[in-house]
Amino acid sequence: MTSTCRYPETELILQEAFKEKDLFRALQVAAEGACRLLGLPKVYFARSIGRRLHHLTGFGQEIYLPPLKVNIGHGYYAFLEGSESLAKEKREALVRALQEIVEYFMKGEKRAL
Amino acid sequence: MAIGVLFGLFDWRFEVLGLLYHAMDMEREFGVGPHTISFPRLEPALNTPFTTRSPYLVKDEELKRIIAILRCAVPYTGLILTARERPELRRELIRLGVSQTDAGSRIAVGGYKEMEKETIWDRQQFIINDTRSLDKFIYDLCQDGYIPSFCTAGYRAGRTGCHFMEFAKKGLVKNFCVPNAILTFKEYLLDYASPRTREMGERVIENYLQQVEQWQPVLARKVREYLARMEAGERDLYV
Repeated sequence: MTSTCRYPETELILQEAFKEKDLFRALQVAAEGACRLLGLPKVYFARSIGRRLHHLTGFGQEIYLPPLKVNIGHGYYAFLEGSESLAKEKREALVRALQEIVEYFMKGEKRAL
Repeated sequence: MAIGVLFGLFDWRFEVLGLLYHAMDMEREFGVGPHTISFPRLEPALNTPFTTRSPYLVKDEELKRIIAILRCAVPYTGLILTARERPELRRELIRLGVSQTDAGSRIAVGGYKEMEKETIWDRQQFIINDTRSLDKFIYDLCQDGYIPSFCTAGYRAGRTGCHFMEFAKKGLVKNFCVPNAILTFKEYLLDYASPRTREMGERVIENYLQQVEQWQPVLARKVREYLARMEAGERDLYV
């Protein structure tokens, strides 16, 4: 069963991301927030171009272990490094927040990438 | 972006400088250099006398210099060697810094349907000099201590562009490349290799795993875990 809990850290990530003027900057802010507030070593984003995922932006220090790859909608992917250290509910809350950010900028009036 | 020159059409020194200026320009403009550089040589082609008469044909020793220059000038870029070259020369060229190559290639129209024919004169544009099978080529690479990699993880894990460059330029990309070479080579050994190539390949994998253990022990444990999962039937595991 998937939890729908919200956490102050992920709420803060959302608030900060929504202040940005485009999706690229919002994802940058979200990556930094996920590392600083949730203690992940590295978070980065990519967009699919055909079968390839093209790097967009990110934050943190590489740990050289397989990241968790999550589809966050509209052809965007998040890569969460060291995510096994996060509680499952918190990880899911983070993914939901990232999906909301993409949705907000893709559907809203603000400019996507 | 992949760049390259068909050597033999003009003075190779000019062509190499052109390639390097192109690479520098890409870095200056986009912050990302070429993904790969290839350096095929003009080969005799049907009904094309120029291919054997060009005053700019590149000799073996010159090709070695070209590869050495490119390796030193753009150490982060993949260097692609084609199967146009003879097997014994390929062996020497790989040692100079080649990182990618083809094997078991057939360039004739419909050539892969007639794999037993190394050359089909009336249906191919030029000549392939290395007609070894993929299995034989891989066996020979292993004999020389190399680990063949079938990895495409960079594209699937969003390690492209500037993100790739930050690893490649510092030589840190080996932390992904070696484990992924081990994993993809293991898959090849399990599914496609002949018994003797598999035996040789397993030894090569163990050698490289020991290297990873020395510089990234946690990563090495993960790779060993993935290898065990592949033995049990899982596929397409990468870091």
